[in-house]
Amino acid sequence: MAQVQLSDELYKHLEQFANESDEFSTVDEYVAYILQQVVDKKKSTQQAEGQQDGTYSKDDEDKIRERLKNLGYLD
Amino acid sequence: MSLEPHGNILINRVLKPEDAIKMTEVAKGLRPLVIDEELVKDVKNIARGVYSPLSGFMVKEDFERVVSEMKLADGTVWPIPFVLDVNEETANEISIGEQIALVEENGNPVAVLNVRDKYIYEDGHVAKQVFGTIEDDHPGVKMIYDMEDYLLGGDIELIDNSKEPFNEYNLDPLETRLLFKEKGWETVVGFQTRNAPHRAHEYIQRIGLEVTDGLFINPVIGKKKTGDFQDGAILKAYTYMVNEIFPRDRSVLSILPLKMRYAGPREAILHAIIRKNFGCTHFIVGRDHAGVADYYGTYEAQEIFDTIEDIGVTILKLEHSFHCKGCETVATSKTCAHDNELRTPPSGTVIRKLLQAGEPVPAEIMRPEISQLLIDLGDIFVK
Ligand SMILES: [Zn+2]
Repeated sequence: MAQVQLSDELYKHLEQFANESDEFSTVDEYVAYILQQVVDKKKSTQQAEGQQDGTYSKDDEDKIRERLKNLGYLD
Repeated sequence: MSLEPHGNILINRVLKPEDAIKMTEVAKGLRPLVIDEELVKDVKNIARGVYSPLSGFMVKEDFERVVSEMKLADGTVWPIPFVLDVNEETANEISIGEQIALVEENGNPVAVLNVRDKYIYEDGHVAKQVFGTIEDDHPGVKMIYDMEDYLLGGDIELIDNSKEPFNEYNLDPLETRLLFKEKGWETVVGFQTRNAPHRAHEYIQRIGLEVTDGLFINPVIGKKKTGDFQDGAILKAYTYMVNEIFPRDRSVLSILPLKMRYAGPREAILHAIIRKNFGCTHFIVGRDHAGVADYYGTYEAQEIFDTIEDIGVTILKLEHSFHCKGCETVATSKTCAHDNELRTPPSGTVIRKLLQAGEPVPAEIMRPEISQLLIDLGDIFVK
């Protein structure tokens, strides 16, 4: 498993939060949870951007239609 | 309304012409990595959305889950690894986060790879899982054994969107999807082939066309074995079929540049997913689909679809068809009661021998006009 270095100050804060919560028994669990959320968020944003990639403007659609016509696929 | 692309996302990593020009300049300053013709095909297919939702070469977590469970890390069904291999020395030089230029053997920049991962793998394990064997007689297994020791993962951005050879037959998923929509097809059946059409193919295509609005004939183009039909001959013959035999508004011919892996059942899933991305709602899987030698059971490529999560494509599982003198037509074991003596299955070897000698194939096996067209072309087999 990978290790990450944190400043002592940040670690103390995290330890405090983790202790106050019922869900996390260790700082490791707490940090992993936070980071996973960041990763998931990033992924869904990337996916949304990708989706925009996939869609295309009226202009693009006209270009595609033009190529299909030129190649004889459309009349 | 056609089927959503696989993973509900149609990938488009093709740079717009003005951005491609800029990226070509950027690429000159990047570390070049030479990739072979087959990898160039994968790069272009990824960028054009043919392999949606893949947006690049697989990172380790996708790769490992694909190998062991036929799923991407996010759970989407995916049967075959798509990876970029490099040797140890190159792997050591490249760092994660780096952009590298993927270039053809002649130095032409094809794409930029944003390196997100670098990892090793165990080739025997991959071979066993993906191909069901570790024997290097299997051409797909040999490809795995021939790969370098390290894999790079990451998204790509396509600079070179050229479509030669056969540009005029090379449509992207965006294009086929619009085309099917314009034709008013709600349902489309995909047909995979590596051969010039004979009657048994035609029979199967007709079955598909009877139950859908449109037939998408999608020959795999690229590296072939000695004795296979040359790509140009396949396209000429099918051009005749879509122009003269099937109703013109009910069939489309377009190519798929793709390396065959011969992974049998897993490859059948890949072929279905690719056609789904092109906009097909149905896909024909015959017996022994994408198999090689005796590595897979006759029906394995059909049965595997019953064991995976529904990918949304209706699989038409068809039998081998043959000409039957008793039926006086093409039939299958499901539709013909006659003995084997009356049945003539199409034999690739016989067809090849006849055509090579300049003789037409019997009309009940191949349309005379297709035979003649192929004979007239001459030199139609890979040497
Ligand atoms: Zn019969």
